[in-house]
Amino acid sequence: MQDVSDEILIQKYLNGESEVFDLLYYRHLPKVYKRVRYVIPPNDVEDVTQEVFIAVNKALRSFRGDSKFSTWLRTLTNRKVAEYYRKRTRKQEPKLAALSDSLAQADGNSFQSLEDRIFLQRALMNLPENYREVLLLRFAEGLQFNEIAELSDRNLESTKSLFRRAVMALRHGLEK
Amino acid sequence: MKRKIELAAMDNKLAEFADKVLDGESPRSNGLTDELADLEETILRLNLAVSREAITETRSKRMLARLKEQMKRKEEKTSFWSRFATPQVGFLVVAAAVALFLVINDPLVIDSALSGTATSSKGGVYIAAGAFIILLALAALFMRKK
Repeated sequence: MQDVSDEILIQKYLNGESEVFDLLYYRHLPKVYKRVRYVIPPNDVEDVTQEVFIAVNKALRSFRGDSKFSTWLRTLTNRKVAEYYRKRTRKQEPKLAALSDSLAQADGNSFQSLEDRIFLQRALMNLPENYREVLLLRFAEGLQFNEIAELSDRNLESTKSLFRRAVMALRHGLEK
Repeated sequence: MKRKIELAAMDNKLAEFADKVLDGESPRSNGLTDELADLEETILRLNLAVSREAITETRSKRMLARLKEQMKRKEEKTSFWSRFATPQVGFLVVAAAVALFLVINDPLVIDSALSGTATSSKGGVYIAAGAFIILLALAALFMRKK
């Protein structure tokens, strides 16, 4: 079962083999978790990851296989992250809320790194989507530049150029 | 043209630097320009900010158990409300809404009810509303037979 493609597993799941969901979960959890960890404050990483898989479970029936499951899952994850920040906006400025919540729970030593992490997350979330995506694909998912190029339908040079511009935009965001 | 070549070189140097950082090396700065050095520093910062530790098996299992619990709860909640998601209930809700709309927007209904008189000028509206409700009822019946 380990070697079976996602698409076949989904088909099995849709045919009533509900235990197949666990396989899909274990297969994709590490990547989803890593991606979420890059953009969501530490306290909420698990919850948002769970939300992603609840949404997967709900939406699998409508998965038509037009794109790869991993691409579909990535879109779903981004949507849940955006939803997380949208919900926070209703109460207060989203990134500041995330910052204050997490910092309130940090102890002395971890304060500095946590603060840096949250400022980075804020800067990442403020980037245009294509910039954020190329950074997440390389850093959170560990894809090589040629894989990112293939995935985003670009050539290698323009992918590296996009990456450089994304890092530059992130730097500007951190300086603000 | 010169700038274009410089940028392409910078793209490659930065990508190479990121590759090394992500491979766990501690690369020395290419230091061609201050601009490149700044970008390299940002990459180091991004890499350090988030721990690259993989999720543990215990945590994965615990999360799956919690997820199943949550999915079960959501399913129960959905199935409770889905009992009401029938055309008949929809018809009743729309009919009630139309009736309520007419009462709220037409004080004559209240006046005439109090005085015991009816106003013929509003008759057309009620006939149209009645016809609309009958149409909804027929649609609901038709859907039920299907």
